[in-house]
Amino acid sequence: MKPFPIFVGIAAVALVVAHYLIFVTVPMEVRMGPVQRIFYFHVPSAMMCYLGFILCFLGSLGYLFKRKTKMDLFALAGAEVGLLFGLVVLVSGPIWARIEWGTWWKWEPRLTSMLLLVLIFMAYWVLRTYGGRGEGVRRFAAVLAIFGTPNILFVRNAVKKWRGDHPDDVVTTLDPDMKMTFYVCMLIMLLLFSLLMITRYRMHRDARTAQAIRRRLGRLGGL
Amino acid sequence: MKARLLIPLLGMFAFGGAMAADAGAPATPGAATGLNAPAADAPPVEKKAAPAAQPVQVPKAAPKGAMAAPADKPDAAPQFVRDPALEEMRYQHLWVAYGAIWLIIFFFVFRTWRQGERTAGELEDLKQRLADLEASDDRG
Repeated sequence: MKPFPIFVGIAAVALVVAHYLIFVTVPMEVRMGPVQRIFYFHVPSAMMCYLGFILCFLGSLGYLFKRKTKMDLFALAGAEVGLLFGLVVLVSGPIWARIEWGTWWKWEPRLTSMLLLVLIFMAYWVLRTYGGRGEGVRRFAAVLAIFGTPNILFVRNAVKKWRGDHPDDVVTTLDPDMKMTFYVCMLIMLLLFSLLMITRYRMHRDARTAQAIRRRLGRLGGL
Repeated sequence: MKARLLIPLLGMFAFGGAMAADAGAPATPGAATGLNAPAADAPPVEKKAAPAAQPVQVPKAAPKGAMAAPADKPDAAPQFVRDPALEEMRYQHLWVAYGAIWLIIFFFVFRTWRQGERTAGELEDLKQRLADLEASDDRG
């Protein structure tokens, strides 16, 4: 049996376990109450978003220096999966903020820098999706990813540097049961991230192969 | 071209790294920027650290919205415990958040699956056509 479906099954079971931990076993947070449970998906999603963009950065760097198509496809898959988790962060965060801050959105350093980071990679994705398949587009997108990724440093340090309202370094202050749930959710998100990354990469690789065959058929007069 | 790319990139990382190293230092009034500068006539505001997450022991039979702080923490989060309407709203926001998260993830997974199926089908079809064409060329 192929390993990929086994991992999909494991991920599905793990997600059920994560929800059981989040909604049933984890203790209620004393100040924020139930809405604090958003944290168990919100923070791991942010980490996966950074990971996706860092992989996109590495793939883009590899593509620019080695000109290997695999690197380019890897970068694209990283950006797409990173964007998915970035959207999860930007959607779940304001729902928490509505209760905690009394407003959906604040132009606060962490939120603003995160929004900018996601918008940079949104631009990358739009460029890759609608900009054509030429070499120039791929190179331009790679440079965009390379210059966009260091913004993660700004997002990570925004709260300390500009004294934002967003909680920072919360994990170290967590109760042990909450910490355990958090780490379990982190692992599960990593599994989900890996599966999505592999799937997107394979899909783009197949599309690239189909494109090459189509070109060959065109030369042979079969199209 | 590579060198031209590397120089500004290293600069960005150096700037980000310097910012990260500086982030731990307490901000001084002289270092205040436009983002955090206090008003000229206002006293400087002392930022409070985010409070540590503390669990409340919830009795298993307790109805939703009637959660209580443990007896040994009499002053724990009074605003959280005593307002059932706020409690209800907090639960609603929790469901909406997880609903939205899963809607986004399922949409992405579904779209990936549909695209993957379509691409794999197209690839098979093209491979078949190429094989047929090459076979007919060999016969010719």
